[in-house]
Amino acid sequence: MSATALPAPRGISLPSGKAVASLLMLLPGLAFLFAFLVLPSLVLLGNGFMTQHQSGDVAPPFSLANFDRLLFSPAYQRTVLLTLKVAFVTSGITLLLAYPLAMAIAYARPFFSRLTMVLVVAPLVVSVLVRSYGWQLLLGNSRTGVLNWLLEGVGLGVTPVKIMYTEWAVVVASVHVFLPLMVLPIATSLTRINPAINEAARMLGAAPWRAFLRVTLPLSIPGLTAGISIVFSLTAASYITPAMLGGTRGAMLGNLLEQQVTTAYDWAMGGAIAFLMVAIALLANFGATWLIEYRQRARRLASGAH
Amino acid sequence: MRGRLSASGAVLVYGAGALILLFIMAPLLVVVSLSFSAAPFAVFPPRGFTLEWFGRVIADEEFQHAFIVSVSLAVAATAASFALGMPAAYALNRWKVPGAQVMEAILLSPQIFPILITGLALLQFMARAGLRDAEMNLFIGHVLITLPYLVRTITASLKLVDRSLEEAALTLGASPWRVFWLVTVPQIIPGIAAGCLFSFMISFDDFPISLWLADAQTVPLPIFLHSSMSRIFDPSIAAMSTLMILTGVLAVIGLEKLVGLRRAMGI
Amino acid sequence: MAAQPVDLALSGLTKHYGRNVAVDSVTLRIAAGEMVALLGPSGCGKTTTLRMVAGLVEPSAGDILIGGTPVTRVPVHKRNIGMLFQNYALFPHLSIAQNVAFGLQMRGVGRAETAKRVADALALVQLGAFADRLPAALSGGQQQRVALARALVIEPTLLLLDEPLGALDKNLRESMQVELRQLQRRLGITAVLVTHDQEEAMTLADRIVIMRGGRLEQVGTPEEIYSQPANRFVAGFIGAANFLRGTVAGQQPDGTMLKLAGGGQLLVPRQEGGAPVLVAVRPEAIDLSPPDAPAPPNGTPAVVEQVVYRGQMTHVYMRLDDGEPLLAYVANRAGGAQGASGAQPGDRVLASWLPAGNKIVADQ
Ligand SMILES: Nc1ncnc2c1ncn2[C@@H]1O[C@H](COP(=O)(O)OP(=O)(O)OP(=O)(O)O)[C@@H](O)[C@H]1O
Ligand SMILES: [Mg+2]
Repeated sequence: MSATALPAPRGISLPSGKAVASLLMLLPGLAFLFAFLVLPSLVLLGNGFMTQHQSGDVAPPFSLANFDRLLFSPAYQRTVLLTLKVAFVTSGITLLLAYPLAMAIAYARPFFSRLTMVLVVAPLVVSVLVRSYGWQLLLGNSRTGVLNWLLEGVGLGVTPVKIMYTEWAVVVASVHVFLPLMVLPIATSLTRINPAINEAARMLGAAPWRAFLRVTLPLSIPGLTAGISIVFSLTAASYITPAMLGGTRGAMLGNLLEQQVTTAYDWAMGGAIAFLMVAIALLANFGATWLIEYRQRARRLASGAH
Repeated sequence: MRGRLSASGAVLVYGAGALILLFIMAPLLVVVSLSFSAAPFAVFPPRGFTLEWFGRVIADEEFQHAFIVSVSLAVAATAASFALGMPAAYALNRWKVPGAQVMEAILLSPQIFPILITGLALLQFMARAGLRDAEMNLFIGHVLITLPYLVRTITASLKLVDRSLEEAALTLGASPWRVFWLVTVPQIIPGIAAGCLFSFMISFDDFPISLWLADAQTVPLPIFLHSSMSRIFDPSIAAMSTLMILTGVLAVIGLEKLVGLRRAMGI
Repeated sequence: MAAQPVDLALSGLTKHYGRNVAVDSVTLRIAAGEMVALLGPSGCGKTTTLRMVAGLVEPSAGDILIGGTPVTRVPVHKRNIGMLFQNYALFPHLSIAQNVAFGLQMRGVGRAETAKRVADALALVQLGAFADRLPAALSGGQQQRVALARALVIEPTLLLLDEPLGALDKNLRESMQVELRQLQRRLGITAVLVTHDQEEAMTLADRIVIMRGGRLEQVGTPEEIYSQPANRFVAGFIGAANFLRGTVAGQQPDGTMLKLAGGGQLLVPRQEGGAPVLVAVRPEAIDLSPPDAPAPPNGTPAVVEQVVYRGQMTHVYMRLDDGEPLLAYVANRAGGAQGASGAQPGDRVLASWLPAGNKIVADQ
C-alpha cells in the first residue's frame, strides 16, 4: 500500500498558489501605505534633522538644532510640557469618567446597557469640530456662556468663571471628545470577564467592593491600558480642540506645528515638532502594549512557579 | 448579567453614569437648541423657535457644494479602502502568511499615527511631486484614515465566521471561491456594512487631513464650517452643526440596525 | 443513495504541528461498507486523522487511498466525502431544503433532480415536513439529521463523523446512535467515526481503533478490544480493569501459577522465563465469598472499603493486603436490595474468578 506511487500534483500546488495569491491581495494595501504614509512621513520627520534655508528649501547640513530649540528654549518648551500635561490630565479624568460607563455597558440591565452604549457612541460619529463648537458655547467666559448663565441663574455667578481660552477648556473638551475611546476598550475587557469568577470571589467571602478591587479591576487592566494609551496619544496630537478652546494660552504641539509651517514657513522646525508628536504617539502605544504583555508574562511566570 | 452589580454598586454606577451621560450630551444639546433660536446671535439661552437658519443653510450654494464634496469624498474613500482592505484582511486572517502580524500592524498603523501629521506629510510630499490636484490629494488622505477602520472591522467579522460552515461547504464540493461567496460573504456582510458606514463617518467628519489638503475650490464640509465660524455669528453655524449631528445620529441608528452597536464597536 | 461502497486505506499518515506530532505514521485499512470508530483520550489525534482524510488538513507525510486511488493531493471539494460536524455546521442563512441541496448545486445537478433527491434525503431522516424552515428553528437532534441528509445526498464515497452526537443529551444520543447505525448499514457506506465515548464506539462500530499520542494502540472488533486488550492502556481505557502484578511461583500442567504480593494466586497460560507478569481482570468477572470459604485456586483475599449500589450492579471497592486496589461488579439479581452478597465496608472477603478472566497485558 505504501508502495503506491503518488500522482504528480496537478496545476499549482496549494501552498505556493496561496502564497502568490496572498501576496497579490496584500500588496496593493501595503504599497499604498508605503507610498502615501510611510515615505511622506519619513521625508517630513527627516526635515527635523536638517536646516531651513532662506530660499525655502529644507536641506543639509544635518543638525539637532531644531530639537534643541523645541525642547530647551522656554517658549517651545512650555508648549511641549503643556501638551504632555493636557494629555496626562485628560487621560486621568477620562479614565475616571469612563469606568462607570463601561461598567454600565457591561453589567447593567439590557435596556440601560444599550442606552449607555448609544449615548457613548453617538458623539463618536459627530465631528470633533462640532463638539468643540458646543464647548465654546458652553464655556464662554462672559454671561453668554451656558455655564456662566446657569451659575448666574442659581445665584452663584457673582464673577463669571473664566476657563475659556485656557488649557482647562482644552482638557474639558478633550475629555468629552475622547471619552468613548476609553469606554469601549474597558467595556470590552469587562464583558470578557467570566461572570463566574466574580461570583466565586463573592462566594469566598469578598464584599462587593473587594471583589471589584481584587478581581474585576485587575482583569480589566488590558482594556484600561489600551484606553489610556489611545486617549493620551490622541490628546497629545490634537489640533482643532486647542485651536478653538485654548487660545494662545492653551496652544499645543499641533497648533505650534501648524503655525510653524503656515506662518513661519519653517519646515525644519515643523519636522522636529512632527517627529516629537509621532514619538509621543508611538511611545504611548508601544508602552501600553509592552505593559500588558509584561503583566501577562509576569503572571504566567508566577503561576508556573507554584 | 443579573446580579453582577450589588445594590450599592448599582446606585453608584447608575448615578455616576447618569451624570456623565449628561456631560456627554450637554454640548450637543446646546448646539441643537441654538439652531432653532430666533435670536440673531448664537447666544444662550435660545429665544423663540424658528427653522429659518436651516432654510438659509440648505439654500446656501457654498454649503451645498461643501456637502457634496464631503459625501463624495467619504463614499470614494470608503470604496477604495474597502477594495484595498478586504483582500488584505482576508489573506492575513485565512492564510498563514509569513510576517502576518507585522503586516497587520502596518495596515492598522495610520490609526495610531497622528492624523494631523499624516495630512501634513502628504501635503509636503504631493507638493514636491508637483501633484496639486486637491481632489486627488484629499481622496488619498481620506483613504489613509479610513483604511485601518475597514481592515479592523473586516478582520473582526472574519474572526466571527463559523469555520466549520466553510469546511462543510468544501466537503460538499464547493470550490474555495464559491465557498467564499456562498458561505463566508453572507456571514460577514452586516459587519462589513457597519465598517463601511463607520468609515464613511470618519471621512465625513474629518478635519485634520482636509485642513492641509483642501484648496479654495474643493472645500469639505468641516473645513467650510470652520471657516464660517470665524465669519458668521448667527445661529446658522449651530444649524449646520446640527445637520452634522443629525448625520451622525443616522449613522448610529444604521450601525445599531446592521449589527447592533456592541458588535459594531467590537464589544 | 450511496454509491458503490469503497475501501479506505491510510498508510504512514503523519501530521506535524511545528515540533508537535499530532498523528504519527498511522497505517490502517478500512473495508468497504465498514464503520470504524477512532477512540482515544483528548488530544490523541483523532480529529486530525479524520480531517486529513476529509482533506481539511494537509498531511505532513503518508498517503490516503480511497477505493485504491490516492487522494492525498486532491483538494477537499473534489473528494466527494460526506462529513458530519459536532456543531452540525448547517448554513444558517439557507433553509433546510437549500442546505441539503447545496452539494447537488455544486455538482450542477438539474433542478428537478435536485428537488427529488433532496426530498428523498429528507424523507430518509424523517424531516420532510421541515424543508422550508431555517436551521435555527430545529432542535439539536433534528439539525444533526439535516446535516446527515446533506452529507448523504451527494452520494459520498465515505462518511466521516467527528463526535456527531456530542452536543445531544443522553437519550437523544442513544436513539440517534441506533438510527445512524441502521442507516449506515442500509446504505452500505464506508464510515469513520471519531468519538471519545466508548459506549458510542461499541454501539456503532464494526471495528474500533484505539489511539494514543498520535499512534494506533490496537485495532479490533469491540469484543476483541474488550476481551483481549493488547496492553494496560487499552484495558484501562475500554471499560474498567484491575491490574495485578504477579511473580511466577511454579509451573502446573494447565499453566503457570503466579503469586501476588497481597497474598493471592492466579493461574495463567504458560509463561516462559521468570519475569513478573501484569494481569488485567475485569470487575464483572470477580465473585466475592466469605473469608472462611476454602481458599480459591484463582483469587485473593481483600478488605472491602466502599460499596456503591448502582442498580443493575453493585460496585465493591476493595484493597489487597499489599495496598493495591481491587474493584468488583456484583450483579444484583431479582431486585435484591442488599446485592453484593451483603458485603459491608471493613469486611474481609475472598475475591475469586475463573482463570479465563486473567488477561495478560503488556505493561505500557
Ligand atoms: N491547528 C493546530 N495547530 C497546532 N496543533 C494542533 C492543531 N490541531 C491540533 N493540534 C494538536 O494536535 C494534537 C491532536 O489534536 P486532535 O484535535 O486531533 O485531538 P483529538 O483526538 O481530536 O482530541 P479531542 O478528543 O479533544 O477532540 C493535539 O495535541 C492538538 O493540540
Ligand atoms: Mg477532536
